[in-house]
Amino acid sequence: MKKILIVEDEKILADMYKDKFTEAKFKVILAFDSEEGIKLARKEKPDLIILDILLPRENGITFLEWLKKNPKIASIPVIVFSNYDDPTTKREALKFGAKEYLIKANFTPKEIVERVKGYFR
Amino acid sequence: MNPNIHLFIMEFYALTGLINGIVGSVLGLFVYFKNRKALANKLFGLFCLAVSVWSYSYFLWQISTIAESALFWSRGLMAGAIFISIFYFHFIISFLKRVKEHKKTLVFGYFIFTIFFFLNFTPFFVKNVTPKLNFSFWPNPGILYHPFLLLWLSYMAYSIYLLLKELSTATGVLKTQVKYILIGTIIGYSGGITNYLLWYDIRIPPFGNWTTTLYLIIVAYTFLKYHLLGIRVIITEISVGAIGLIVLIQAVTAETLGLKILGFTLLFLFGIVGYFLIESVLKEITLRTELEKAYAELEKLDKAKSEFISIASHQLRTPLTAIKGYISLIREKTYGVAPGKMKRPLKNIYISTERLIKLVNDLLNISRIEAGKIELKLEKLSLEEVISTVAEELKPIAQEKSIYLKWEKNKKTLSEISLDREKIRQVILNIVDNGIRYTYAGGVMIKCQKTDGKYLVSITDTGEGLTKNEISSLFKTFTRGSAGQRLWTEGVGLGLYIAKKFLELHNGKIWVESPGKGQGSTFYIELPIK
Repeated sequence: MKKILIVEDEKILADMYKDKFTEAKFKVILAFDSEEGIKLARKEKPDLIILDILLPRENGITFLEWLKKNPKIASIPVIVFSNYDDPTTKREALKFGAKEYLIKANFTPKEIVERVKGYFR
Repeated sequence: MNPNIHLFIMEFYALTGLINGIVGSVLGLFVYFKNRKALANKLFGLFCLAVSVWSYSYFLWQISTIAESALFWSRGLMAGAIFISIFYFHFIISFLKRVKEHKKTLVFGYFIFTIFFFLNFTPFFVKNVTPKLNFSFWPNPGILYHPFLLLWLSYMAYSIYLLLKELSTATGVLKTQVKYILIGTIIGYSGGITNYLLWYDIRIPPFGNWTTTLYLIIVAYTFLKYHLLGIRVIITEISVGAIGLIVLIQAVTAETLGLKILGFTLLFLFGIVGYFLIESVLKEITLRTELEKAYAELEKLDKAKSEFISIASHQLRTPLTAIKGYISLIREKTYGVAPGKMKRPLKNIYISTERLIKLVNDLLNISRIEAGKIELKLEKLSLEEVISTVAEELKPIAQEKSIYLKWEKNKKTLSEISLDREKIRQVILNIVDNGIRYTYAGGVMIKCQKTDGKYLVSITDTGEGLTKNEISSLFKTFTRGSAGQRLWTEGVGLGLYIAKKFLELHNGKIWVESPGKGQGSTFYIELPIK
């Protein structure tokens, strides 16, 4: 069973994605801010991380920076999944190693599950 | 050595010292009195004071004829030099508004350089003076001179580093100021550093001493340029005054009455011309300063607007994501089977949400297009593949309306070209979706062919068709064909405008042809092969 970490501060969205990923037989871990996200990534070593950008306190870009500085978890693929559509932030996220920068509203949970499955094929 | 050359050298260096001193004092006082309350002005004044003490002592040392006097003025010179670096550092961090974060370094600097100042009058600093190269008296360093010089250079280098760092992030007026202060500093210190070589018996004379004057002028001008209108006007005033004085002297000393009258007439005319000249310079500078201010303000507003749009669209999208997501989960039976009667309303909610999401996306795109801030993420990819994905995605919608959606691929695969995948997908999706939307019988056909170094995608529908008038305004914002107004309330007519702009960014174009009402239409998309 593949394990994914979703770093998302909007609880209703986090629960929604968790429901769909669980249905698709993924093990889902939720984190509500960057700090908790890094802690859980180190503890749980997920196979993939889905990361929101506008998070309380430290944002998703800082999360990516922290992740890259941590050799044990630096290689975990990260998909940025945010509604914040800002070209500079997008560039930064890709520079810090994010695989993709997707706009949440353009995807249904099913579509994002399919996208994630693509990484494990 | 020839005594005349010796004298000339002495006079040359004495003169550079005197000029540096005069320029330093005048500029220091000028900048200080322009705004006595501002810390940066005070610090620049202090920095000029240190340079002046150094320069006047330099002059007096150069004209000294006995060793005692030369030693005294060499120490006087160092009394000024000691504070140049720390005053400059303080001026720079105050100018960059970074005093707080460098407070410790600053306090340490003042403390240590004050100690050096008191030690300066002992032989540990300037040991003695001896003849060197062509100079009758050149100071020799004491033991404390070496750590002093190291620290002095470190503070100077750190100031330059801070300016360089600021240069990489600063924008607008500040960036220009930092750039010129940096240029001035580098010129000044490249020349000024030649003063230290003979102290270490490196037989190179202080040939770059004069650059100090240049450096002071550049830094003062740049610093003041955006705070007041002074220096250019003053230079104009001085020039006008000097020429006026020459004309006046000529008029007064003229030998005949006729020449005197001519001289005073010239002076009078020159006075008028001079007045208008100064006025025009003043006006030009005032105008430019106002324009620069307005431009900086506009840049700020533009940035704030972009940020607002990004945040606002984020805030709008978040609840829409939840609605779209949960509805899709209900429709996919993630929460169990919904009653049959709910199937249609759920679908309608889903479609409406999608419409809202598309509207938010379109408005965001429009605002970026209008601001010229759309960026392309080009990659080599197959246009046919993009069309296939779109056709696949829209097929169910066509099937639901019982019309066809055909994608007639070429027998020979077309080569890849540079495209922004997401934007081109959005363009094709928009056109095909429109085709399906306005067609009730027949269907939509997509083709792609290679013509004259270009790819031409045609999307032909058997739908409503367009009149000539409609065609002429179809690619503008907020316009739709009359069919769009009559048949559908959906869409606000932004899609085709965005499509046109996205294609223009690819150096491509879009147009439509229609035989007339009720006879369908064909949209053409042309993209260069590159």
